[in-house]
Amino acid sequence: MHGLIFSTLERFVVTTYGEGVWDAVTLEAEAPTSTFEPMLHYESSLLEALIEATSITLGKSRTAILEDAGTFLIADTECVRYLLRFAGQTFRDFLLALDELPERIRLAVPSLVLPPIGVVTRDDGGAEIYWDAGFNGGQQFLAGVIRAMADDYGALVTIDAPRAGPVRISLHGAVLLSATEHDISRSVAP
Amino acid sequence: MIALDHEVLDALCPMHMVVDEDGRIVRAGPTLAQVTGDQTGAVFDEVFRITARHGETTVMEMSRVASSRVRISLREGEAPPMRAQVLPLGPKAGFLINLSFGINVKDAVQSFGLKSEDFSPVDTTFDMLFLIEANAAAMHAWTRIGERLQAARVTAEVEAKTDALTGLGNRRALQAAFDAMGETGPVAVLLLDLDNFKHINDSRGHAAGDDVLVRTAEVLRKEMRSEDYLIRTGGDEFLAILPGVTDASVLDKIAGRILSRLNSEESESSATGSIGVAVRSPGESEGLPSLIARADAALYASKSQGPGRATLTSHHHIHALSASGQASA
Repeated sequence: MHGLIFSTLERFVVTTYGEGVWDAVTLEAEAPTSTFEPMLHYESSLLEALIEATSITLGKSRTAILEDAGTFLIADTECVRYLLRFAGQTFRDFLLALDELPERIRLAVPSLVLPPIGVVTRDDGGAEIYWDAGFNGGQQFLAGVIRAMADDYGALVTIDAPRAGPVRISLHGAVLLSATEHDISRSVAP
Repeated sequence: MIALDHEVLDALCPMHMVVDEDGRIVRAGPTLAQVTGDQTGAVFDEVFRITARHGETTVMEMSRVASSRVRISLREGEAPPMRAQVLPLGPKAGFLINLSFGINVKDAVQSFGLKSEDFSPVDTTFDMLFLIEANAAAMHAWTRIGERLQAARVTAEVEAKTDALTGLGNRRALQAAFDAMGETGPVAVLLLDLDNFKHINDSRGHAAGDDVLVRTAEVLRKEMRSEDYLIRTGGDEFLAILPGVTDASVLDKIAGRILSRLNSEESESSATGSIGVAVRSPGESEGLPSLIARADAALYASKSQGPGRATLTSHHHIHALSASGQASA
């Protein structure tokens, strides 16, 4: 499994809860390393063990942890946020283009293959997102990503990510002042 | 035959231009207008330079070559060249020219502050920008991994050549010294062996023995210059290589200071040692292994005279140094 996924979880736990917690997590998961390189690959079963160990160490449900991790990935990683903004001019464009996201990600990182994402629009302008990530809590992770992107676009939304069924997103019209402009005249790499 | 409204043409090809049969610009699509400013009525060839396969040309000439791909750049300003297709619209009807930024898309978008709505939704310009940025981010990530690996490699290399206890070089560092010294050139090789090390280990324990070794390394380090090699070759044996040093009186002083500092009553880690020195003079040819063997023979000569002695061998001459404060032979 792609190291980007592991290093995201690592950065999320280290930044949010501290290195001591991450050391405890990798110990609990009996991981062979506590530092994950974003461009290398690791055993898939190790991710499951790390998520489980994070849940045990923090005493939080894995769905709550994964939704926070999804939000963290966007909020903390300017380059990911910036790249995802290419998907659409507005948050609604972004939402409707979510079915292109796996291909977009594959374009950026050829070895990072994600299962397909289904988008069904509703008459009220909202959308339902279907994604079988292949791991328990994947929907919540995606919900966290969408929540942070809505924030970046300055869109007022409510997001419901139930344990079963699609992620439901309702748009409430207004564009908040906190919106970040997608300035393509800058470069992502320093 | 289909007739298109200007609005439809603007939406389909926001970077198009219509030029009349006299070579004057009649109108331009909205994105092109943003790049060039309003050039309506201007003579095309005065505003733009066209470069075709055979060199610079004019829009009239282009109209005779159907639908060929050419480069077009603005005569004024620093805008990157654009890719263009020139299509005659029919007898006396002028030309339609469609432009794109081609592979210069990033520079162009940056220079002119263009946004995704400035391009047709089917245009992949923005996907290309995404790819460029994603590629830059991935390269950046690889570079950082490369830097981390390089730093780790340098650390590992240094550690592999370093004796963990004393911080001096180990036997692996010796090879680097061999390579650096070659077969010729003035150099001195100094071997130091502690006289009573086994006794210290046996009577005061291994921790005390380690202290003596660490202190010996410190004494040697104080005596050496930055270009000298200092190696702990094993147990209680130390090797120093001093490039450019051959003078017996200088070596005598160095050996003397080392032995007297080692045997200091102020230190709990005091010890006595013996020294053998071999010298390769300018013009002589001899490999480092042979020099070390001669220094070892000199060391043996020192030992046979009792503790705290130093002996120097230059080629075929062996003589005792007046080292150590103890009587020399």
